[in-house]
Amino acid sequence: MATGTEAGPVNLFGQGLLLAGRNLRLNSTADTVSTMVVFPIVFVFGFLALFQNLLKTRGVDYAQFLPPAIVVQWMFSVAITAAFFFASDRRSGMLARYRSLPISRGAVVVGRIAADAVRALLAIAVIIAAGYAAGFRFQAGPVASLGFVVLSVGFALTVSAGTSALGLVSRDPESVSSTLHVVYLPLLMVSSAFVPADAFPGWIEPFVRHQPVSVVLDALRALADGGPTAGPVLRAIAWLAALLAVFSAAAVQAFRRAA
Amino acid sequence: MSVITETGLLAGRNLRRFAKSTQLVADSLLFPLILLFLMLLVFGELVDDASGGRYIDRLAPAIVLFSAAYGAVGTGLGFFTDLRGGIVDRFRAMNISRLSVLGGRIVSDLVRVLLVAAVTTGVAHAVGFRFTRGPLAALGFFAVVVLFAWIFLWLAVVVAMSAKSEQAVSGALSSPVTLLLFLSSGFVPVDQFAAWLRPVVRANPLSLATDALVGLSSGGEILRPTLFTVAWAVAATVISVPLAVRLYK
Repeated sequence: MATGTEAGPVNLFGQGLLLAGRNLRLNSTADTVSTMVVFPIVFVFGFLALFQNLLKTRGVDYAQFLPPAIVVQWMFSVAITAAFFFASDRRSGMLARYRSLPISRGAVVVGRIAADAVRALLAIAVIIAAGYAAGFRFQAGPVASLGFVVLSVGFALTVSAGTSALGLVSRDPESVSSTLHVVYLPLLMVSSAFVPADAFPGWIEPFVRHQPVSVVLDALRALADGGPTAGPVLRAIAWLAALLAVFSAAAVQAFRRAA
Repeated sequence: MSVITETGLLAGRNLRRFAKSTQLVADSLLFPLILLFLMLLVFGELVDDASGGRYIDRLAPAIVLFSAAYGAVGTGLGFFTDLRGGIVDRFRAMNISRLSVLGGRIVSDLVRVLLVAAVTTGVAHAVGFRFTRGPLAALGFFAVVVLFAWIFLWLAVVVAMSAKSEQAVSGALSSPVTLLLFLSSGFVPVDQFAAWLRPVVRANPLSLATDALVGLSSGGEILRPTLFTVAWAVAATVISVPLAVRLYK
């Protein structure tokens, strides 16, 4: 077993993956199946049933339009789960216990990131499969499809850095997660996730177009639908890089204080 | 003590616990309002254009009912915690009727649902929601809300007694509620659904109760949707109440 507190890559990743396994096992299988498989499918088909005809009148092919939105929704949910578990690990003393073990401290971070990435990939796979059944298609080739997955996971990990910072300063997992729901829901809904920006009232349209969730969604849709991808993808990467810089600085600060 | 006094006392205990938790109060009052404003913002123009009606007339009742149904998840979790925490065993050891513990849970949550409904419709007034049918219809509005909540509260109590973990309680309750939400005419008119789904959407208690509430507030058909909501409530009573009582014993 990899033990040792040196910050070498062997310790970092060996121990990190061990902790990632522990993080993933915190959710029971039944719970994982319900939140990461059943619910995404219900949301894909539920939104289609509700809004497909309504948006057809606007010339939107909703089966193609919707899956990236549900992907982004679940990336938020992965990030909120990360905050929830950091807060519970802090409350239960698990973070303090990690510090007393002969392991590299970075491994705790690697363990979180790896677990989040696995959950994000699972959600993406389920949502895209449901999307395919409904008529969604990757139309821009394998490289763009891969770009779609990478950008989605990158978004999840960026948001996760921010939510983890919050989770690490709290000891109350329930209140962290309900606070984050109140923040994420407006950000997601007041974006081009579920309806195109021009369906919003005029006064809020500029915000809808330029806020980061819409920018990321524009890039994901460009990668899925084909057409010019460089512009939207670069804009999304610029946003994510800026957010990641702020969020990870906050998360590192919070982690130093908490553990 | 009579069963009614005991039920009142226990309902009071539940309500005081609710009022003490700032988190719970904020969640249950704020969430419907956030959802109301967001739905109005995101889908208001689209639905107004498609249906020619005012979206808020339908949206406010739908949100009231959705929060009542979703509140049942809280009921289930609360009752589960009571069962596991031993307080229910303690009540059993006391010289009180067993039914009043169940009754107290239901009564306190109905009061909570009414409070959320009053606040939601009050705030919705600011964005154009109106009771235009007089005070009697407004009373009927809240009566239908209670009737609808009744269906889900008993379901929640049954689930809480059969489930093995908190996660199982919220999973078993939130999936059907989410499905009902998606397949209802609360958020978009029924003719926007695919033809084969429309019978399901029409029979959904959330659609029927929304129709009844729309009729009782901004105007429209009242009798038929109200009677069907009553039928749902009666069916749920016949199935869930005896089941709940049996499980509890």
